[in-house]
Amino acid sequence: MVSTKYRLWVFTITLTTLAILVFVLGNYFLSQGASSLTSRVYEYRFYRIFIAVATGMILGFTGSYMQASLRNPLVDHYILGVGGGALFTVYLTVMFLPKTIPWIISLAAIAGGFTALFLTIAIAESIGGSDIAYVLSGIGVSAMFSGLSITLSFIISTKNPYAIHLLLGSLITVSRKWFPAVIVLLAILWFSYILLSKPLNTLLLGDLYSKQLGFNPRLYRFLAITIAGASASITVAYCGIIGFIGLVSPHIARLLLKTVDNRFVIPVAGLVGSILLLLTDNISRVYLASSIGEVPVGALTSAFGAPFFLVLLVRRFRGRGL
Amino acid sequence: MTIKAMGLRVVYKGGVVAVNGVDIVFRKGVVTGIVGPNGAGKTSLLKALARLVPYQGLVYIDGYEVSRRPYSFIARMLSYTSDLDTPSFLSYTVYEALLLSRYPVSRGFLESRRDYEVVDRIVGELGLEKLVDRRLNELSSGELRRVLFAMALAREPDYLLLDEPDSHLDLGGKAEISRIIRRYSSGRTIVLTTHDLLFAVNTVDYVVVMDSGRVVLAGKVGEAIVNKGVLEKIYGVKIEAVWRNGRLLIIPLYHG
Repeated sequence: MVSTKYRLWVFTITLTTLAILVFVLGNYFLSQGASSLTSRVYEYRFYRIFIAVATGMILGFTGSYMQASLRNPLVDHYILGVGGGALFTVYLTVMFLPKTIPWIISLAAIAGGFTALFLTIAIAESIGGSDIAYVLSGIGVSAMFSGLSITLSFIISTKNPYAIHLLLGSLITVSRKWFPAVIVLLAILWFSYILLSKPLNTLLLGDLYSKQLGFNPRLYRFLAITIAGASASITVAYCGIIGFIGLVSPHIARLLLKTVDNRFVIPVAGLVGSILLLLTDNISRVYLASSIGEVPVGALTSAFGAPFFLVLLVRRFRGRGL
Repeated sequence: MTIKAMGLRVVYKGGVVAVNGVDIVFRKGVVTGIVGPNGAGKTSLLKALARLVPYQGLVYIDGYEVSRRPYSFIARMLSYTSDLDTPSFLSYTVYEALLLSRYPVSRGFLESRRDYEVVDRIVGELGLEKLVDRRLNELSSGELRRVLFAMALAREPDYLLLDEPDSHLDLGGKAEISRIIRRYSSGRTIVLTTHDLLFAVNTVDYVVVMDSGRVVLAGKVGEAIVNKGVLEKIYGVKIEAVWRNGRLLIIPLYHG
């Protein structure tokens, strides 16, 4: 039997790993080429590390929320089309807005993300609502919005050459403008985690059991999906679509913790998300930048994450658990 | 400690009337079995009593009208069990499911010592020691039925509503679940539904026979079942009811 003590240990070890990584990478990169650096470069590097850690955590949380509330281990904001929808409206806003105003772009991202999310849910539910129905419906919705976004990106690139980075998901455009938004998102997610993790646990047993364990399943599913959808959409507004972190992190958390209990899975998935995004971003901007140029981190997370998704899919069809 | 329903109606979308004007009282310390053919409204009645489906009319539990209370209020007094639809990917272990079943009465974010004590006691009483680390989706029907009953008991409710606790069970499994239900009947109000009349006469004190959303017969198990004319009519099968060693046996004669 896996005890609570063991799970708290896993949490502590994951947290320590993240802290060590932040310390080592932060120390190394902040000091690299120190003699010739301006304070702006220092600042940029600091924000980049911070945003990588925070965004990874946000994606870990939102992935866990989406998987638990939909009882579907195959989804994250990318698979459900939230990323695609949010990016489309972000591009639309960038086209018409004279400069980057985070809150307007965030609201636009949320509107697009929700449109795509509800479209995916409506189509998936109309074809039976199985976990695979969600994946297929999400792929369709995602493809539609991605097509529109790619088209818009050609128009925008003349005005804002960095906008193209959002298409593949990159932390290259981070700035302190987004700092408050990210802090608020983290606060909302940690607070909602305390309120939602127990109801989400009951949702895994189905709506009937959730009700008779004292929770209104519709209310809590709505809250979890809304918070997750909005948070993931806002990450798209500042760093584009970073896929698979939200999908993979909860699974790694469940494997480490040996449980599906969301009280433990959600925070550990957040920490795992931070670790994964920090590492892949560093691979992208340090190791690859010196050889083939700075590859968008979203490309790397897809390259690493998609095989993981395929393994899940195969195991799902062979009827095996995780 | 009673459950009282007055003028209870359950109407589903599309106008299907599942329960059509039922007045009934379930008393403390009594096991009541609801029987009747498929579509008679047994499960809908049970779900309405637990406020799991919308209903018209009144349901009082301990004097409180159920529809005005939040789910959490009802969950503290009453457990309802039915088939569990557990996904193979995101499945709890038996022990986790038992702890989770205490959410309505357990206040903190993490489990308290008392939560563990109660769950350990129930595991011991129902002999689930070998199952505690197994996942719910890996259990056999018989094992799952015992675990579901344990989950229902975990929050120490005054009321137990069991929807077909004997479904998918072989003879031995039915006998075992019947003994378990009897063991926990004192001091509690237990209402169950079943398709198996033999299981009913061995398990319950009172029987309620439903057909087309209405109660057509109710009474002490021996008296009601002996009135086999009603049963023969609603099931459309000849029934032999015989007493042996003070126990009633029900034998359906499929071919007349």
